[in-house]
Amino acid sequence: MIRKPLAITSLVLLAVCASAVAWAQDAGTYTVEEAGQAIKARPYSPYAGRDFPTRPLFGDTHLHTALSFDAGAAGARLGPREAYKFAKGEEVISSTGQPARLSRPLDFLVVADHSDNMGWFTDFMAGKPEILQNAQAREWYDMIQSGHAGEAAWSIVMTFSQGKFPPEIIYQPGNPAYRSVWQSIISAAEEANDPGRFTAFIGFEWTSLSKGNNLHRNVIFRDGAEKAGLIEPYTTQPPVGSNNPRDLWKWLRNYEDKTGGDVLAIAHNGNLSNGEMFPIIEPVTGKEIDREYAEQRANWEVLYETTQMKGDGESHPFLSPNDEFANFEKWDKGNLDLSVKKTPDMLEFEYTRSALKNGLKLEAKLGVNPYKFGLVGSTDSHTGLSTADDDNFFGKISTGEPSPERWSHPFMANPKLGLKILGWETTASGYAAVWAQENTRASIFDAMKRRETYATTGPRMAVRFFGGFDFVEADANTRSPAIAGYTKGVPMGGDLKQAPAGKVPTFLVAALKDPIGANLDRYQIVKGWLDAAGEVHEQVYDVAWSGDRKPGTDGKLPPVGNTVDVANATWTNTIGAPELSAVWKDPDFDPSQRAFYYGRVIEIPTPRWPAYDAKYFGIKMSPDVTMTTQERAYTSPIWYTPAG
Amino acid sequence: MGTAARLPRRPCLRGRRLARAAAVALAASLMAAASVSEGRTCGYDSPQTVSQGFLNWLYPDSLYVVGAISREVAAGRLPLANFDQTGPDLFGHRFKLTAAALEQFGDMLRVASPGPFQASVSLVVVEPMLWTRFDQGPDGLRTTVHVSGAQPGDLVIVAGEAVIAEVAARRLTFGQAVERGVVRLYGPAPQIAQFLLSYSHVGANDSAVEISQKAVFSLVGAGAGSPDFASKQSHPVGITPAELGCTPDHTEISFHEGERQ
Repeated sequence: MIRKPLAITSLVLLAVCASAVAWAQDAGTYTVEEAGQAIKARPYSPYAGRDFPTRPLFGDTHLHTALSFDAGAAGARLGPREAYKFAKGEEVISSTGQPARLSRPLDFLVVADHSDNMGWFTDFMAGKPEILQNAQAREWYDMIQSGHAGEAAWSIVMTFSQGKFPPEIIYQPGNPAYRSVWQSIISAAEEANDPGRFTAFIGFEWTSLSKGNNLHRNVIFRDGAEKAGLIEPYTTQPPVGSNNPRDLWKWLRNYEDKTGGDVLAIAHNGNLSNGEMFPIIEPVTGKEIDREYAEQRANWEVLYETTQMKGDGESHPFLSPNDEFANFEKWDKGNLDLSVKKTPDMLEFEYTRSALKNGLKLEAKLGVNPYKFGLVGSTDSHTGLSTADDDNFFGKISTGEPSPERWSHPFMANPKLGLKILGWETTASGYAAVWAQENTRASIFDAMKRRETYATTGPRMAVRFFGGFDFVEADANTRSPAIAGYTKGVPMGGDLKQAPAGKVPTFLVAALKDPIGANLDRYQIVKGWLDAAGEVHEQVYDVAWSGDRKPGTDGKLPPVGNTVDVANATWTNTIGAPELSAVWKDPDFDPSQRAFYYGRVIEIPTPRWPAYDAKYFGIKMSPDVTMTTQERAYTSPIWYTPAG
Repeated sequence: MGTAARLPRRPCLRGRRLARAAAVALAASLMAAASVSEGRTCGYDSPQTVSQGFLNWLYPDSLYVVGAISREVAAGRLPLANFDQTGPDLFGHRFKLTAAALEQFGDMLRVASPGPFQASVSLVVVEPMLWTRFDQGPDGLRTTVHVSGAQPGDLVIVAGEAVIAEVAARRLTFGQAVERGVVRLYGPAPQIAQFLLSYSHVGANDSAVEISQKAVFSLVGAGAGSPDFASKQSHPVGITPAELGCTPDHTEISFHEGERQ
């Protein structure tokens, strides 16, 4: 994608120079050969004429505010405007009265409030007459007034949870109040959007939940109010909405057809889907997914949110027993509401790596890879505060904002099944990094569409990942590896076609630490492939690392070490490396086999957020609390597809 | 409102973890039993969380006390709440401690203003969402721990468990607690002012009363140190202070069950 403008630029230059040559020939001073030399010679500045992205833009594609039913009910009082202010680096007061500010502004933000009943809670609590005309709503309101608000709260949540909300007051498309809420969200985004400096996307979350299994998608518009304002968000409650992803895709198609706009959807938390996020057997039909499913999903869901506050979804130790970094921020006890316990057979259809592998299998069968997605991280915070840094973590919901005891609160529990997730198990993660040329809706969206993105668990490390057939060692020994990367290969999210005879895929990798963060431990490449027998495999390769460590006889690189002082919640950059780069050639390449490759960059150990809490509040936590972490980034894959 | 019993039939304060776990468990079991479970936004909605969430809307920014308490704990000026301690809570000890502190607080209010208690007051301990009502009984001020919530017209006090314990132990005055933001009051501004005038010194040891009284006048006169103090501390027009209490069926929940996970 990036090479295309480069090629066009070259053609334009050639045309201009050809004209100059013609003119020069008239003057008798220039030969074609001389002109050719002039074209080849680069200007003194190696960066002149550069048109590829030069720095990653960091943002959050998944933030809830008080307008989300559950966020409001849990006490969030910050709305979209406050959320944007915070993302832009301003200080705000959180819903529990605590001053909060990011270490650095974000570059972009998507306020993605739940579309179902969006804005209802805040309107109800404000006593909006249109709502109170309804007998049920009036009863709830009167309960509150007469000293039974706790029961009212319970009843409201249960009624909504069970899909028994009074249809005449439910906030959904067609309801004027719902349109008003949607317009207010659009207005907030329009006000906050500042092309070139900060991008405020219009979006919402389609919150499909099937028997407690998470099938959520965030919907993001490339467009502004003039197009996004023509529609109202898609919901899940029938008959207006649907829980079926196919219906969402139809809605997305209708949006583009109706408005001429552009939209995409990003799924998240496959780890809480109990095997339904990346199916081979479609849950709705009970049949194998077909080509249409694959085409639609590949078209609309070009990205996947692989890390967020409800756990990390890149890999799982059960699926990847040889991957020593796979056991990271696991949430694998059950589905979203813990109503059904997790079983090992579900995991294959929940995690990024296994989905990418199954995608190869499905592509071979259907001709389309439904799981050809790039990667982002985002927070899914329900506080209006997009915080993914461990030393500045404001929690998943407002009642989980910093407090001495939040680590021990059950976040979710189902004693009947013996399932419980405690507060400390929430993850301070993550952000989306996008290699976009400009900080605008169009540029970031287009980069997302071409999957030139990566996920981070919070740190803002700069990660490059290029694939090609002609990279050489020298390409990594430069301050601007992207020049070679874009010239000789494709960036993350791209495709490699049939390998030229005798050629092997090579990858140019480079990573810079977060400027105010921790050093880097290693850069790994994760490969998955489909063999001739139709079986999928995976392998993790260490391709660049800090220090003079040598892989052991098992091929494993020794751990980088650990400087974390848990008691003081500090660490030192006396280990690790500030940057890593290398060119790596696949030693096990078979040109006839479909494959994917993605980068994983691991930081040295640092304190996890409970360590910061323990230090700040002067408290002692139980021994089972994980106090250190190794933050990381996951690049979008590059796929290799053999001819035929 | 205002059950005659001074203590609930079953304690509700045996640990926040227990209460929340049990509440979520109840929610999960009810939802699992529901024929239709589609449409739920997220799975972590627990009655306890929602009760606190409602509180933050019904009494705007009342959860600011949570942030203030956190700050005070970090600064070493307030101990941790018993309610939030991990480990088993044998025999409802934590509830008893808090109930005793609330009773003591009521006694201190009575001593501070021996005449008839003019305005009824409902106090919520925010960690467990435990409501206590102070009103005029046949023998003077009456304290009823564990009521369902505030009654219309009540002055509402939002506080933390450790805050009340500290006041009851005379290590913190009510006025200081207000100044530090670990207590917030909701009601008509004159009612708040009158309450502060009468009771800000509550919690002072005897020798500190005089000093404390001076601070009270300063507190009231200056709007508790903030020009918009009264407006911040008032409940919204059109909504009557009401109960947001412990989980609706708290008496039916076995808190121990959750803890044994």
